[in-house]
Amino acid sequence: MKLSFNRHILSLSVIDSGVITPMMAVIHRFREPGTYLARVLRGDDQVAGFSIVVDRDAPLVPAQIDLGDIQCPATVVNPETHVLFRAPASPEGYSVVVEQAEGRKGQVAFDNRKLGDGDILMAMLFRPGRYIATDERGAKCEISVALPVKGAAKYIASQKRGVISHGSAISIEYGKDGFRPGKIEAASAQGLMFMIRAPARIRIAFQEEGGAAGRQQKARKAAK
Amino acid sequence: MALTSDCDFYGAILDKGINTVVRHVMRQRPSLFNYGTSPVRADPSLLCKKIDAAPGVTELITVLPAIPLLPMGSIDLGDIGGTDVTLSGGNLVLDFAVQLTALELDFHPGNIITLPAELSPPLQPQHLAFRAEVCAGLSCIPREVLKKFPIPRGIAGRMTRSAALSYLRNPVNPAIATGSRQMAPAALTYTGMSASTASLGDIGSSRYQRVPPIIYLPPNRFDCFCLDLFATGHGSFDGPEGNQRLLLSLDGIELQDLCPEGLENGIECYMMTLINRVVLPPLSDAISEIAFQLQEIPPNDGSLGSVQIGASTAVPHNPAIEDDQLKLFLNLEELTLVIPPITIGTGGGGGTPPTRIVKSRIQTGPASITGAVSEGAFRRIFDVIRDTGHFEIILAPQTASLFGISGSVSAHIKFHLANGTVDFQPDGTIRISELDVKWDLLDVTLSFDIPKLCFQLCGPVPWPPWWDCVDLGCLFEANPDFSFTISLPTGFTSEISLNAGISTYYGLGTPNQWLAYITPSRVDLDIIDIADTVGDILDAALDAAISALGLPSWVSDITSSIVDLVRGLLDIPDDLGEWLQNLIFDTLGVEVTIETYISQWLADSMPILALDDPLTALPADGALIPVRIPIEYLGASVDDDEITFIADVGG
Repeated sequence: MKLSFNRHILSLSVIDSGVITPMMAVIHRFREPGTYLARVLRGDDQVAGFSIVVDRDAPLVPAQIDLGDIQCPATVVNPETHVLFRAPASPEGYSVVVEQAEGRKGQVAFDNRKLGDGDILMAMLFRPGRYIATDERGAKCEISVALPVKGAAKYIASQKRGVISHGSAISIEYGKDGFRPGKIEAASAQGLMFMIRAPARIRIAFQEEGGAAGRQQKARKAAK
Repeated sequence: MALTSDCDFYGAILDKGINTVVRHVMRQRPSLFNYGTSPVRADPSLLCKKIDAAPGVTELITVLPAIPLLPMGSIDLGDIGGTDVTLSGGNLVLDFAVQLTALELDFHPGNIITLPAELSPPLQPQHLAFRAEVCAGLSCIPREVLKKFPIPRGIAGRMTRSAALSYLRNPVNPAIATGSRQMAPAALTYTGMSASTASLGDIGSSRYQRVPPIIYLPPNRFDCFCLDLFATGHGSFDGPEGNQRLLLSLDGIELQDLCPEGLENGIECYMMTLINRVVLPPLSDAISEIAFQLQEIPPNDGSLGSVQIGASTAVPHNPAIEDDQLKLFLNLEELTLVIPPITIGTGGGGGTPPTRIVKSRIQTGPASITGAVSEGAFRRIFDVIRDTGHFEIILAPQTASLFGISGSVSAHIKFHLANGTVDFQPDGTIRISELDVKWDLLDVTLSFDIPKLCFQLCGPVPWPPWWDCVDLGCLFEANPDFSFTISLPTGFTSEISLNAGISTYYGLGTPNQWLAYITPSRVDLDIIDIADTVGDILDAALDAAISALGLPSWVSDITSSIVDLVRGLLDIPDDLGEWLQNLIFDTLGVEVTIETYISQWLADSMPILALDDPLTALPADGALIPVRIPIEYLGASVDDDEITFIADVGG
């Protein structure tokens, strides 16, 4: 038997805002019109590049850029909306550094290895258990992920694909004082949105089975 | 009454059909019917009757030694330098030609040939009548020519080489030196005798050495005469069982209008011997070759074993000569088959069948050749194929869209057969019932391109206030994502039944062939209910596959959730086995495909009779071209007793 699937997703135990991998994305808003050059890095090596043109006349539609599959050499975006960087099929992960190409040429406008005020880290945890989100200064947020629930996966005939989603995302504020709330309970595959208010690199790491998932498992065993 | 009521195979050839065959043989192998000396071969215009030979024939006659008038010794003088004349040794001889023309056979009751009184008409039961026109010619050197040739007056019975050369270089008749067609043909025979150079025995030379040497000129014409020859005869089987052949032979012969009686008797004796020993054996072979084509049921190319056919002793006359036919009643003495695995479907099946066309019968009345296979013989053949055959079906991937999911199924199947009954039906079909299919291998490979299952995060973003959904990763991005081979348990038996007719086609190829196929109108294959077992197999296979992935132990806790997701996507009910069985055999049509493959194999790749057109009755032999008989039509039918084939020989 050959079952081919993106096993990285199932075994994912760390999400690092500095390395964009599946099950996560970062959002940045380029407020200043102009042209930007983006370098896609794997480790310290540049593996791709593209331009971002921020133009007030551009449609007010967010841009999504798959760092593992750059389709356009230039992306045009309105300064009133955002650019989302993701890498859904690249478990090895990428970093992206965006620099101004005009005016203050070479000045870094965005580097996902150090998120800044206004950036958003989107994450989704599928593996049940207890996680800890930390920043570089030691702030922590405990996340408990429950077992998957039936009905989380739905087939969308019009798109000929299925989606696993669990309601709306949970919003977590991160600022100088750390994470708020400091402890959350999430369903498996429920979205987490870290609203960044202070510079940070956030790392979410699996700790252990247990928490809500553990209680659920015990309850299931007891029921049997 | 069935043709095969007392035998396994029946073959009959109509006298009109055999006469057509004879005409083909006479045109393509005229040397069987025309005889003469070397000069006749060199100059066929000497023949009494012109030969209507088929294109490509180079040997018109069988060369026989000239008739010796005086058995003398000879000398061979070889080529004479400076002339175009050859002196070759030999006895003093007469050239001749004998031809059998307008040869006909008439099987009892005689209605083609009117027998002369000497053969006591009417034609007796189980006998054949034979008629031929016999034409013969003997050479004769005209007197006026002979007068111009002085007999050398050397030592009696002796001519030296120098004398011969002297004579030839200073001929009395200049035509010899110039090689005139009339007087000095290419071959000049000198017959003489020398005591010192005798090449025949001393006995001859001592007795005839005094005979003066004679210059013999080859003939420039024959004095011809033609006589009607009538004969009666019978048929018999010749040869050991398993290698038998039909042999026609004459019992009585009558040459019309020939006197005196002694001359007539002598020539009749000669003709009887000639016809029985020279003419009829190859003609019998040609008939046997056609009649014993029945051995090609089933097709026997040598690799499939051997089929031994012998003459039946259960009939009063075999061969029988009756109803204007020569009838052969044959039994299937031995059938040994070594059947290599028969591959059906994309992995084999005998290749592309020839282009086939349907031809209607042109002639009317009884067919030239009739053959029949009894139901019992067919069963025996069927039994042997059933008991020795192993079948393999390689089912090419069948693609299907299933609940929006594209998938494919392929299979590798091996099976053998057991039991089953064969019945010829009065409605012209063959019914094979309750034939057990014993599955030896039943590997079914299913592949699915499972739709992407994406983790989608939806949430509010602030610039501008926006509800955004983004895919953060997807499972099942490959194609196919999910494939597995289920080795279904093979300890079960299925039943297959089919109804089939017989169809004949004319296949265009090298050579063209008349082909008869079993053409199923319906094949039913009942796969047993595998639902009970296959579900467990799939569950076990899934577990094994997930274990093989080497995922962390926690995954096992959510495996069921993933499997549930997959099952949901595929609309798999709780009864996984039933779903899989329906998927394999109904939705994806494996069962139908197997039935189709079997039908196509029988109808396209497994002719039960293949008859070359033209059919080689006598193979090539040196300069003799093969004798080929055109087969104008082949038809087949079934009734509740036998399969009957009819064939017409083309004119």
